[in-house]
Amino acid sequence: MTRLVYVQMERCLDCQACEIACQREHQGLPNIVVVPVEDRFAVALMCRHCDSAPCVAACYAGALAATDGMVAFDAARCTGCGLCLVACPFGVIQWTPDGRSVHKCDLCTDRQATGREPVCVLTCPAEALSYEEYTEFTRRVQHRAVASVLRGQEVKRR
Amino acid sequence: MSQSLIPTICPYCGVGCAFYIVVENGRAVGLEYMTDHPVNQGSLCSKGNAALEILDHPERLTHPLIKAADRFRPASWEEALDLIGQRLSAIRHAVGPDALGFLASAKCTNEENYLFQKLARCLGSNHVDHCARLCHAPTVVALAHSLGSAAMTNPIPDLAESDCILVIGSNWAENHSPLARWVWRAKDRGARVIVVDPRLTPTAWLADLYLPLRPGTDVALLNGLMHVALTEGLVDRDFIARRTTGFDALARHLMAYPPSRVSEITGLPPAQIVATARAYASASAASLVYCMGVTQHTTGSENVLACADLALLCGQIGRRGAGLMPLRGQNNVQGACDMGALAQFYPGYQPVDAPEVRDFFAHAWGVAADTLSLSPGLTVVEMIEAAAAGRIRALYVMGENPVLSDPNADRVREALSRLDLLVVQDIFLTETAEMADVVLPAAAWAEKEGSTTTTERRVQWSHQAVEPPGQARPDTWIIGQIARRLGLTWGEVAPPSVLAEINRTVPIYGGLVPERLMAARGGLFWPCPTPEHPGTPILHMERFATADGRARLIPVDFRPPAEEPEERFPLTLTTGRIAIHYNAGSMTRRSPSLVTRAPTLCVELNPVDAAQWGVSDGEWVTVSTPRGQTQARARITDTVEAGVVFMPFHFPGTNRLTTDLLDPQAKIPEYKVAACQIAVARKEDEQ
Repeated sequence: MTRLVYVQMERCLDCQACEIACQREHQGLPNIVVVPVEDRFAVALMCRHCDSAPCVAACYAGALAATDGMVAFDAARCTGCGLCLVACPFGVIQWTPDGRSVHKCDLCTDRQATGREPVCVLTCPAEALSYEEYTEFTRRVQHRAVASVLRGQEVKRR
Repeated sequence: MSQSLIPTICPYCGVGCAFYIVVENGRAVGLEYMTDHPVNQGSLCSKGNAALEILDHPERLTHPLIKAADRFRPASWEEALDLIGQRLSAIRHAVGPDALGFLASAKCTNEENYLFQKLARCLGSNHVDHCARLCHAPTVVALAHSLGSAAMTNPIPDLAESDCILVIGSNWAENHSPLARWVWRAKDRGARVIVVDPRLTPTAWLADLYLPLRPGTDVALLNGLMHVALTEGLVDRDFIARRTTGFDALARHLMAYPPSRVSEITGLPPAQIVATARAYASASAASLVYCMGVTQHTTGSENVLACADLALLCGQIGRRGAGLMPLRGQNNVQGACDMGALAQFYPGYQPVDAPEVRDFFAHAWGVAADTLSLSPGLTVVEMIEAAAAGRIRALYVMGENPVLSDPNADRVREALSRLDLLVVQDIFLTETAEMADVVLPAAAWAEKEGSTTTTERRVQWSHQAVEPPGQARPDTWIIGQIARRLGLTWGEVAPPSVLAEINRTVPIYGGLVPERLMAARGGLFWPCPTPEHPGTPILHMERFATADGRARLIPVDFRPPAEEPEERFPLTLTTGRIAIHYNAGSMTRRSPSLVTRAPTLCVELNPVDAAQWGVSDGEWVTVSTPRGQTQARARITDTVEAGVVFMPFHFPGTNRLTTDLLDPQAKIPEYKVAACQIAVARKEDEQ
């Protein structure tokens, strides 16, 4: 099983800490973006590392490849054509400032080599982001939902 | 290359998050998260993540500057310090010690603030104050009065134990972000979160109930909540009988605040007032979190008293998950208050007008008793007024930026320009430093060591990670050098030895000895009177810090804000902070990753008002009040009610508009309410 960064959307408070942490770890280029919605909530978006990734299918140069449960990007092979950027359904592949290449979430691969989690997850004050297997994520959400149902029952019994 | 991880405390807000600075070849090359810290658990907000950007910043001050013919020239430390010594001395002898004013800093350590106020007082002046006056002076005044101790009662992680969290005038989601994880944990357990704020902030996003009250009507709301709790029998009779005095008078007073009347004053539906009172009073443990929305009013002290009354009446204080939580805004604003950087207090909140206290400090500092003044000094805003009137002739400013942070900024500039001597010690050439006669380059937080005290009273040691740039020096060294030139013989002023002196003179810090504090990961809570004492995470568990051990219930009446909208200025301006910036902005407006996200001053206004004044989103507008005007970019949003506009105070401009009318007890200005007018900026005015 692979671990991924999961987002509990209702928890995000738009503080943008993840963007700034990611930017610091990736030479000034943030791979995560917080999108505020109608001043009522915000959603953190980053590469979902799709199993059948449209960006990989679109990349004729072989710069993007789905390996070991993630979509890896090899800048050396990138031609800067921008097809991946168009193909991505989440809009989370972005141009580099010079427009010659792209950048996207690499799950902080360099950090994982030394057993450290991705910075966006570590820094999130609201614990809106987690780095785990999807079964762990869904189990947590299920437990919280059940707890909420139980509290509802208690209120009714009173 | 060898890297080392140096633990440090974040230099921004009062939460006191810890992290590691990655140091390589003497330079800070990275930041690593400290996941085992008891409060932030590794997490950091936007500003914390950008903290290292100020260390190697190209605009850092690297040598002393002396102004000659309106221009700065570089000077040696020797020359700058000698000049300051001579001029301070001359003014003191010619006019008297009351001509000297001192602004201490909530960004500096306990040791630095202790030395700074010691310098002021040993020169015979109690005119030493700092920006706590502008954020939580009402907390200091009012809680000392009602509870006997002016600080947050419980640690931040305690919020997870609360069943109801009532938030009044605090936007912690943006300004104290790591609280989010503890509030979410409470909510996961079923806690109710209620947010009272004129603006629908990100903090209000997670509220179960949101109350958009009219700015400045907090006392009416709090009295209304108490009225409901009382008439519905939800108050804690046992707690009131055992631990408080003054109940009967308060109960009689509250009869004048039924929900119907409170609704008229606050603009909130009566049902919301009743629901809030029931949720808070009937919770098995409830927290009341408040911040500058409560304090920055001409009724700030009354607002805080009403908060304390509510907590006491409902018995929601002195237990896990039940407490009164004023959130402090700066990394060491609690500590600077504790260290006596306040006009009316010696270190440890010991009053300056008590002769026995004066004698104690005269003995401790080795000066003649009559050197120390028995008159309470002037506060921040009063010092500026005194400078304008020519009574304050010299001002020594350590790490503050009154030109931006004080209200009615045009008047502040005018007042500072009248001084005979303005000395500013800072890490950047701030707007205030630009007006100085002498500028002294100081070390930033990671370039020196010392202790800071968080909003929760948690005292933590911060280690030096790197050397200061150029000739910049730690504040303790600078203050020591100035003291020596004024004939004071202090001996060593290194932070550990200053802390050892604090241990002897400040009883609540008595047991926070240097070796112990340096080794205590996660710090220690004051009061900690002896080296064996474990510290006190929760205050008031058995008794209050008053003489008889009982808390005072003090009735307060609603008074409207000092300035109300009128024909020429029909809108209400309220001010506050945003997630990306910090206070006067001298650090965050220089941090590339922050300022690129929020580069300009914005004014938020409701679509109804935008339509009425013909303003479109993103357009430059002129905002004016009876004091002045400024340009800002319009941001049209329904998160402010019609009739209310909001501006953050991180940019030059906002405080040209705010009023310098003060709370009579705490002397805090009413930053949260001013009457204003907006108009589309004329083309030639655009920035």
